[in-house]
Amino acid sequence: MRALLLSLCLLFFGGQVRAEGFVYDLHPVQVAAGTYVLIGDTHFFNRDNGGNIANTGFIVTKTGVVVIDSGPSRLYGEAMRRAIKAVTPLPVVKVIITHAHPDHFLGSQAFAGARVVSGPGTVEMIAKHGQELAANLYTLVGDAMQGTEVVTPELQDRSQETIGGHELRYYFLSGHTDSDLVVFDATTGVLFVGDLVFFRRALTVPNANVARWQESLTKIEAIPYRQMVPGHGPMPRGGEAVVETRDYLRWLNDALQQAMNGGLDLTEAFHIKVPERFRSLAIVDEEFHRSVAQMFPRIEEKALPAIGSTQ
Amino acid sequence: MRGGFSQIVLSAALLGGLAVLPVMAAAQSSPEADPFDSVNWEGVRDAVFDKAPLHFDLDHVKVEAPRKVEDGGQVPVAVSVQGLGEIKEIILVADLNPAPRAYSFYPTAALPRLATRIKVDQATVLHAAALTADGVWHVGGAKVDAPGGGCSTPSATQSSQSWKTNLNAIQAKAWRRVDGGDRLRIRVLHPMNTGFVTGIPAFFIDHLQVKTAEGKLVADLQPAEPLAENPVITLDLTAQGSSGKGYRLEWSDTDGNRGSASVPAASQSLAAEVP
Repeated sequence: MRALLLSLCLLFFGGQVRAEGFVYDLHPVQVAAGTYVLIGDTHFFNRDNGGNIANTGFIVTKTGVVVIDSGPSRLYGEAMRRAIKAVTPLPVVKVIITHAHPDHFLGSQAFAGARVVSGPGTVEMIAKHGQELAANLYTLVGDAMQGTEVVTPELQDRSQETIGGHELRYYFLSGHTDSDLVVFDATTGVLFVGDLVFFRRALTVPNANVARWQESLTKIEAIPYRQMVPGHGPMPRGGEAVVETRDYLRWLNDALQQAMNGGLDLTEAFHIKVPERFRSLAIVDEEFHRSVAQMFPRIEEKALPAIGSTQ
Repeated sequence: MRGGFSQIVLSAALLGGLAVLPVMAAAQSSPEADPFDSVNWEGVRDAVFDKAPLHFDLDHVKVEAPRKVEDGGQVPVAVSVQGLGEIKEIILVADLNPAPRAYSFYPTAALPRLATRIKVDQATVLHAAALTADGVWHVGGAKVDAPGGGCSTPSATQSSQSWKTNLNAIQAKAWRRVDGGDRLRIRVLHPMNTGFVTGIPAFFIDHLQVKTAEGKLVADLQPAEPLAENPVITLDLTAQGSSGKGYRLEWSDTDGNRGSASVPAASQSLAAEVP
């Protein structure tokens, strides 16, 4: 009996020690000279992945490291910093935030000393709603968010600059959110597109503007990149991730418009069938459901005819 | 058949009222357990339905709501009742809301089903109850998991104040179903304040009537606090309740604002199936 109690105590304390800090298991994958990507889980936010669902990356230049997106939490940012240290002794000089979704910007706190920058809409969104986005992520992933504080980026005011021999070009686009910053390293040909492109994983659309998103995809296709880094999912070989993103977005929008025009209710739109060609996308049923709840009310607001009001 | 049953009950009551009463009393003293295990069901049942006879009938009263909800301020809920004959009233409650009743719907000349969006304050069971002509409530339900605060955070229109100029602006359209009845979809711009946010008093639409262009009442909805901001309502009129000349909507809110608007007659068919 005493032995049993002792082992129960050990189990209890053993669990506590492990529970003290969430551990992100990050493995940088090299995609070009000095360029690495940390590939996130393709599930939705949960306690097991600690919010690590987006792809982040870093470029080792001659004068310092440029980080693209800092992940979902302080602990993630710190794990990323350690992963960078294993590759180079150079300091992180710049952190570029592609857009204001919590899986992309909440690790910035770990890069004190570096300049954190983003596009104008992202700066505004994080300044205004960063705390709410962080609080919401706490409820979804729990412990992994411990000690996370919002860092509001400065404005990336130049559209082109050279850092340590890498010529970086910035494209201020929109559509996934009001402000999506695309970073092209013209020296290596690597294109960080943020969440304007997903690959083998269903899109998220809480702040999407479909028409502008489609325009941005056309602009992205005109960039002479060699390797694209999508915001979510594995690394594509060529342009197939753009095609997949464009087709899924078109289908999603058309299906919901069709449901609206046909007089269906939101609860009926939940039953729209996802076509066979999109069935293989990660968590497509879950994301489609969220997309209906987010997009259908916006479509209704535009499509239902105003019939006036007399008071 | 129904008349026959009533007559028997009536005769029995006349012959020996004392014999009937204990049966009813027994039914009341052992209410059915909630198949959804809601912690607040008994409180809601007593407050909303008082001592009315009530039984769970999940086969005929269906509540459709997403299991996981991201926005507690806009939870889509469809209630549909089938196979119970004429329905006098449908009530939807969110058990753990500070004010549980979301609406009372009197179908009148509508089918006994209604879809809209409501606010929920936390993960809760939703119960829908349909009242049949014999005075019995038939109850179904669904569980929703939602983040906190749907009823106790300010509405977006409240923060923007845009409703001051657009209050009660209304959008609506009719579609013709294959069975000859019309579907109506209605959206009203209104903050629908619950009164549970400090400093923001209760202010919500509490009555919406659908009449034919000729003036006949065909559906009557009495919303309460939980109905979502800028509510969207989908309802289906029976063929007899539908009008080739269109409809008139009349509504009022808790501050005494009133409005009315005309819905053009259906010019399009309702989609036969989801895309």
